[in-house]
Amino acid sequence: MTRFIAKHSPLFILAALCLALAAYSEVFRSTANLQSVATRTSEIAVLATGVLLVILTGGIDLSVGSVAALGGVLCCMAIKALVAAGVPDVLAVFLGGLAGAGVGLGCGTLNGVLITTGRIPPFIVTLGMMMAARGMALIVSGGNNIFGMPDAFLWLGGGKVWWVPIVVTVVIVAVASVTLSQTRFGRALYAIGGSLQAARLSGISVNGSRVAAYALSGLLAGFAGVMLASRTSLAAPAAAEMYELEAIAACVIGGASLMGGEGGPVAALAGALIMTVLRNFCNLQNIPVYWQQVLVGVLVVALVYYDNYRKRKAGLITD
Amino acid sequence: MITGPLLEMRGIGKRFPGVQALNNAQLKLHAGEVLCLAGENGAGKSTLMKILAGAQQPDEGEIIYLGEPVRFRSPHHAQQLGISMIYQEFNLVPQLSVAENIYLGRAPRRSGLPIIDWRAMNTAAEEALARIGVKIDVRRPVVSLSIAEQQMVEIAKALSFDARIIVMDEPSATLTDHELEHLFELIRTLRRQQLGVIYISHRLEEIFTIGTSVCIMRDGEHEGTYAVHELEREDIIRKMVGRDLKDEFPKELFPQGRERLRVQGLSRAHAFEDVSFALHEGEIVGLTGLVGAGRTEVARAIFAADLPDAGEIRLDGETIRARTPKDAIAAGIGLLTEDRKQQGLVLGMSVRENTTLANLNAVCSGPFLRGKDERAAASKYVDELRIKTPGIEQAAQFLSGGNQQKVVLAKWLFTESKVLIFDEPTRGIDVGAKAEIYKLMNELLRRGAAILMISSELPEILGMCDRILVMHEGRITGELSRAEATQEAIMRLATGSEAAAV
Repeated sequence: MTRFIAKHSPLFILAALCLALAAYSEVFRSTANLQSVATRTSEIAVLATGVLLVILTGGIDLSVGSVAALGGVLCCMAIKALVAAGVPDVLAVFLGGLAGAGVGLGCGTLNGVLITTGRIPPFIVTLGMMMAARGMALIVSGGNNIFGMPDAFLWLGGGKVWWVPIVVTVVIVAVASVTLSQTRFGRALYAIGGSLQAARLSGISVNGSRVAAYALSGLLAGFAGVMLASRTSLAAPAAAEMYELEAIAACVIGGASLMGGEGGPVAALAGALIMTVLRNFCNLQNIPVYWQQVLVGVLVVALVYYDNYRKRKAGLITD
Repeated sequence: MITGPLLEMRGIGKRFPGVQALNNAQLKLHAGEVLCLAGENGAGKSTLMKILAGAQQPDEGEIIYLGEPVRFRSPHHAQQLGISMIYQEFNLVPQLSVAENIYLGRAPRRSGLPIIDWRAMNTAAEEALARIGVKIDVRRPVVSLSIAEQQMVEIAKALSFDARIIVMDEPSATLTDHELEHLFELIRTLRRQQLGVIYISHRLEEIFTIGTSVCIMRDGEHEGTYAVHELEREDIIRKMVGRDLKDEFPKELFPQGRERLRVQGLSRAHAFEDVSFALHEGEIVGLTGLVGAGRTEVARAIFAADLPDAGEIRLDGETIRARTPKDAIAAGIGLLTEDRKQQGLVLGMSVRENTTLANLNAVCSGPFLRGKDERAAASKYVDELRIKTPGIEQAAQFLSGGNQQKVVLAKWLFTESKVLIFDEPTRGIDVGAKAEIYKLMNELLRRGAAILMISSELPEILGMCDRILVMHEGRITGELSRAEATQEAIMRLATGSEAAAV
């Protein structure tokens, strides 16, 4: 039982936190507030799912925030261009979404190839991509926000029916969860993160799997950018700044090890929710934004410390 | 001066999740004694030593040190009180000098200043080495020293803490015979200085060479402590294993079948040159030689872990051109690496996941894993190989060395490879588990596999191989049949003092 709790502690922490806050604050438990919490978590959760794939291999992806911004900008520019060219709104939105996700896939694949074939450390490659993608977003948009999106674009972000982004996120997390636990590719990612040497000598295609992990992380980042643009009905080249760190924090709060080989998408989603719930509560209590930053920062470290402590006690990890 | 024992550990118990690692373990060490700690893997030797070193706390029992009950709170605390450990993997910082390593974290300062007094430190380090009769330039970086020299530095470092007790865990594993003789001489010096030495080794003959008494552990319990002269080799094995081990090397001869693997003119720059040999169905060919002769490199090249520069590899008559281990595995070659913790296993993964890792095809439909088949496969091997584990979901890191090696074996059995290369398959494994691994090799041969066994342990090579290839400085210097092979003949070829025709 203690092992079970230790293994799934992010879920228990989230549940305990929600119950406590719901009991304490009437506003928190209101439907409108819970809806907004869930919606606002969706982009971070999608980013975290992608980053998790990379973290499992023992790597890191710092570029997802910038790639999301680039994806959002390209998506919106494509939609506006297509609509202006007379393409029906719905088709334009679909193609624009593909463009946004596609550029993410391209950036991620480039990351993966540079890391494996180029043998450059992941931190460096994705740091470079973080800067370059942000720069590209500013260049193609001319540094301006892109407004005036057609109505059909608002669907994805919940502008028409509130639960769309939530369902999309849940589906992505569920697919990732099944992929990681039930497929050969998922097993390969865990094995690579556990021991790259042993995985290679067991016949795992180490480089192929790593490139795929970065590519998927990029794809999900591009898609998250599209979601964000749709929810805010504008694309900003400065959007999603620092989201990469929030996504990494979500994975880590969810028990992922930055050494690789450990973690899961459901737990990462819980990690993302824990952060949003805390921020939401601070807002409701009128705690100043600056103090929120301090509070969330302290809590991230404290939660990870507690998680490790529980796992060590339950004998799930050793020093 | 105390009259009683230097150290006494009584009724020590320690539980880990799923296992009782120690149960009423005992140990008594007198000054001037070399106590050998013997037992199978998983018998609790390491745990008992970790408790002595302060790295782990016992659940029950007491420790009497220098006549007083103590508790070693941390490795630092134990060291301060005079207990020094020398592990198989050295705790030296490669880039720092010998003197810096000996005085790491406690370098002498210039009076009143936070500046290291290099001259004082180097002089003190020289004295520490002189005390054990070793001459090494203390300014050299540790990385430039041989393994044996590094070990001497470790011992000098241990003594510089005014150690009363020195624990050596498998100190001989990586030493040549000559270096080992030097180590024994040093241990005798320590005895004369009235230190207590606890010596752990899987090589039983060393117990008789250097030990004064032997403490045997079995299943976490104290089996007994004996004076070395009371026992024969067979007695120790029987007490460790808990039963008679009829045959240390259960060699079975199989009719030699068709050629499975042929290696022709294999070369790799700076590693080995022009290596040619063949492996037949049902035979074990030994590949031996001194450390650094290029044996592991040949194995890695056949397995495509490193690519050879020239040469041909044929499997069942067909040339294979593997570019990665994945290709080699698909062709039917398996490699059990020397380093099982880093390369053989994913330690954080379960027994189940490790078992199927090299042959996920067999438990997959398309991209999806068939969980039920996977669990069945893992359970089957746990039973067949008698892997001691609380279950197939246990992480490999929590198993003992012998059981870890069995999991590696399970992984390769599951691939149904035609040719298996075993690199030092029994290093650090106790006699009981060794015999089981040899029996599994027999089983593989019965199923038509061919085995190449790399080993530095000549008794094992002589006991289990049908033919023996000897390497010296990257070349095969000779081949011996089972009948004509002797330790002397192998050593002559291995040292290059005689180049026989291949």
